[in-house]
Amino acid sequence: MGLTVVLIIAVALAFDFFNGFHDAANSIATVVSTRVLSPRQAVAWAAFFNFAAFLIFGTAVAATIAKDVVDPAVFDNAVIFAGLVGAIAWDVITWYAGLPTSSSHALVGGMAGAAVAKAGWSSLIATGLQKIVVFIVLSPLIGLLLGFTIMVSVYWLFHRNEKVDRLNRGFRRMQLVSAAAFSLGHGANDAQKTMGIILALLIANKQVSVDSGVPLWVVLSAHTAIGLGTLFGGWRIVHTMGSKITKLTPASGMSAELAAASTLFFTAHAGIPVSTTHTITGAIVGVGTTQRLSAVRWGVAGRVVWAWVLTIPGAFIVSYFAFLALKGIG
Amino acid sequence: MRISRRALFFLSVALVFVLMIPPTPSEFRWLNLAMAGLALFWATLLVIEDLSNRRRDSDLPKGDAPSDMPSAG
Repeated sequence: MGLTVVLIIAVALAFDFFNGFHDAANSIATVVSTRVLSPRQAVAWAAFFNFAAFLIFGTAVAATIAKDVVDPAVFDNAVIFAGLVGAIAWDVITWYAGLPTSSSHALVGGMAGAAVAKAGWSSLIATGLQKIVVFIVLSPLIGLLLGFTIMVSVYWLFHRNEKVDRLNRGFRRMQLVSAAAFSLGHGANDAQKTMGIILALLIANKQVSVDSGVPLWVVLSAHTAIGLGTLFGGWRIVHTMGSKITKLTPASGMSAELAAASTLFFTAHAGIPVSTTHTITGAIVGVGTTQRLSAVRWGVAGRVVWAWVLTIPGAFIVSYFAFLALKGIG
Repeated sequence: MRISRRALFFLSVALVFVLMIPPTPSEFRWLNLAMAGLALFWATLLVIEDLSNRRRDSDLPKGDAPSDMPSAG
């Protein structure tokens, strides 16, 4: 394996690390805001389940990224590096602008932009891209509907229970399970995107065949990177996703996390890369809607819609020019 | 008849799932239908809740509105 390949793998793992660093708030928001766990305990809990996801889920999302977005024959070191540069640059730009961007969509847009710069539009695989674009819209809405449904079911089941303190204690304990489930879904979805990039790189460098699965060392390193990112990033984040959108209680936090986790389990199983941030945002909006529409801060939800529209084209353009610059340099 | 904003919201969510059927890959279209059905179910229940609340309001003497009535949003 050449030095260039090792360096690109390091960049991909750094992307994964910062994904965990940035998204840790999604996993720990509710358990911290309801004081079930301290921030440090919560990030350790989330990081563990980010890592443990590799024991449960396959690598269908990784295969989609490596083989279903761009024709694998087009991938080379420059395309993959330019794609990563575009995705990282777009993440930084949108972070600065305060948009809740999706690293996953940025990665897809980045890879597509670099591939088009190298080999034209025919290098893109329409069916794979179509699946991803459709679920950009569907996954937050699925989270929303499941969040609303679980929250209403909880109300129906427990509204006659008068021992509120005991009930809240139960929900707080259940939040440990729901936060673990969400972290599993996050680990499965987001670590697999990095695995997909590394798999594409290994295929391009003929380290593995096109038909091969993801090597175990790639699986373990991607899950380790995202787990470490969560461990190092989460405790810094004070303003949590939960409190930004609507006020959460132990019951609503648990419902939102279970809804988002169910959506992520489905998409990970089906091999569809989705945004974990957008999915939990949809689920939190769903539980907020059980109160009334005005209980939801629609500004945050509206910014998600902007991120839908902007992320793939934005990362595409940055990567397109990053590839041309790389080609010009060398 | 005035439909509550929440019912309209869930109706529009159902509509989005239906409109997304053509671009959705065929193996996942069942999901669009299931989610559109679920959204329609909630929209219907919210309309029924709204109507029953309004009927309850009209049955009460003026100035005696119940304080625990859920908001229709």
